[in-house]
Amino acid sequence: MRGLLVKEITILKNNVKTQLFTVALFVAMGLALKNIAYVGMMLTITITNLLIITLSYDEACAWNCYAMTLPVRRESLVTVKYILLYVLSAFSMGITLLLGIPFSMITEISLEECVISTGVCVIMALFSSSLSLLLCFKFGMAKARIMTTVTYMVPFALVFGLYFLNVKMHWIDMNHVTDEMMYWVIGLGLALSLVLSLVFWKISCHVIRGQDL
Amino acid sequence: MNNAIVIKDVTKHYKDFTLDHVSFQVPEGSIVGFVGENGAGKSTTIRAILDLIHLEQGEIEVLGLSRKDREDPRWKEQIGAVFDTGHIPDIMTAKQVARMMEKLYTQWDREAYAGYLKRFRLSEDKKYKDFSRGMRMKLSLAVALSHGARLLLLDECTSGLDPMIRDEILDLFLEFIQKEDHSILISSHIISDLEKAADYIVFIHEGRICFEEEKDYLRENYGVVHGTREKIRRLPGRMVVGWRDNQFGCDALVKDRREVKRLYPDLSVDAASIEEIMLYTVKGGRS
Amino acid sequence: MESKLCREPVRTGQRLLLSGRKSRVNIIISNSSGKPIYEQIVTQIRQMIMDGDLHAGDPLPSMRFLAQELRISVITTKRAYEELARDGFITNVVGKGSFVADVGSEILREEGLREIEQRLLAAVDRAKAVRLSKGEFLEIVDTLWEDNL
Repeated sequence: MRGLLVKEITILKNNVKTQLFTVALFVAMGLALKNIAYVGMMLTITITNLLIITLSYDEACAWNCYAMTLPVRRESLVTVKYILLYVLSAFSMGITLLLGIPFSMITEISLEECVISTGVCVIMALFSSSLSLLLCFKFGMAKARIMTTVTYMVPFALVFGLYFLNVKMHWIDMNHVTDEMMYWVIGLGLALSLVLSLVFWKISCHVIRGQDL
Repeated sequence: MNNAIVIKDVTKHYKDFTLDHVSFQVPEGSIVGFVGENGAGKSTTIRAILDLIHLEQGEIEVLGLSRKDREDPRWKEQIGAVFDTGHIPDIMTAKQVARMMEKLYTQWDREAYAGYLKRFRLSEDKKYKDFSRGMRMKLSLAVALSHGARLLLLDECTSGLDPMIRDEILDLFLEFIQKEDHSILISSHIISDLEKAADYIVFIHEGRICFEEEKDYLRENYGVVHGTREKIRRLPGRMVVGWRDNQFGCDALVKDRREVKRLYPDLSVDAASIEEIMLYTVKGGRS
Repeated sequence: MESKLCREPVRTGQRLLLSGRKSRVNIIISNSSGKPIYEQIVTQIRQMIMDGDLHAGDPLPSMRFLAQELRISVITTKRAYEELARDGFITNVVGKGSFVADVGSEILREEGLREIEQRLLAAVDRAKAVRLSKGEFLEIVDTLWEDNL
């Protein structure tokens, strides 16, 4: 499987320059908008983009078909993508956190807000991207692309929907919400999305095992 | 004698095509030419051998391993496959491909690979998308031949290549087969390639195997008989595979041209090429 | 002995140094002759042995190498070698290869006789066709024999 990772890294390296430029753009905009969450969001989208790039290359050259002549298991084709997902997520989390320091110095954003934004973004990334991967494996890239937009809407809609409902219904008084509680929520959310992504991984493995390549 | 591949009763239904109880063998040390027209089921069969598709019925044994034995993917170190379309990501170079393969194969032979690149005059740093079709094929072959494989599976890998390159590749195959435990299954609809060096010919048509024969047997026994329609029609059914009428007479494919020559000395008889055997088997009318 | 293997169109194969001696061994295959390829190989190797171009103990190219050079099936070369072995002209040693057998002088003589009979039959037929008498025919044989010596 290491060989498969080498291939993914080779492909990504090729696209790094464009991505770095985009990331730099986001950071600049984030600074201008005084919004670190913006950076986090964009990095999340970048992760998905990179994954989609690798999947596009695979589809373009019918890689899965050929890969089955190599000494790798079918599941490895899935696993390597999920590994990529986790690595990229960790990476973007690191970057966002690191950027938080200069951000909090330059703008009035507190460090806590940076951490929370990062946490939220990573949760979204893990959930949406791993679900997207599953959809790609199950339905192929063309259909999955349409579904992917939906998978992004879902957590957004959920979170903001609940937020606005809360404003209306006054379930929770946001002023009483402490930082500690937020950290707990973020922590739980992270754990949940991690578990879900692992579940999606297992399902993807199952899907690819039953497929005709 | 051992068989590199044994296919028995393989069956699978698709929407408009069925692989119907396909059975044949690839004896160890031989080159088996797998021929048939486009859409006959060659690629599907090869995909079945590689466990790319799930079978409704039938068994396939590869290098002595049953399907269950093949769940551990390490057996694939012994096979090399080349398909008709390039399967390397566009932007990778030959060097990068080597780096990837190094980590995948325990027996990756760096020198052999470099040797093939040199022999094929393939640049190490050129991107795959900048290779011509022939060069892509050669790169795939270089990979297939550089990790100690003893079974080559080639699916239409010479279509679209000019005769010079095909000749070069044929040389490679003949070199490969010098070791007694090396075998090749090559599917093609370019018969001339196989006519030269194949040991056995397996002919598939509309998902069914029409014949599985030693190539020499086909060349030495089959023949095309020319004569008038009446004379040809009078030939016993067991001798004739198929006939074709033309404006001036009739041609028929016979299984034993010496017998026909002996019994009907007035008919003109030629040796039949593999292509003719295929054509008459598929298109010839039956008596 | 150098071995040069040819086929139409002519292709130079690899040079095999079989032993120190220098003489040319050619195997030439024709696709268009009515004879099966394995028979052509058998005939030619047999001829070389009888003509003394190949000596007892000389190694022959391996079946696979011969097939590769002539670009024919291994089954063909195997068949040829098996027939030559059956007739006592070569021996196939598993793991080592094929070697020219110590063809007894009787077998050589018999092969020679067989060929002579065939050729004489053709000559006799021809002689009868042009209405040569037996005496005239034998005279010609006499003259040719004396000349050749």
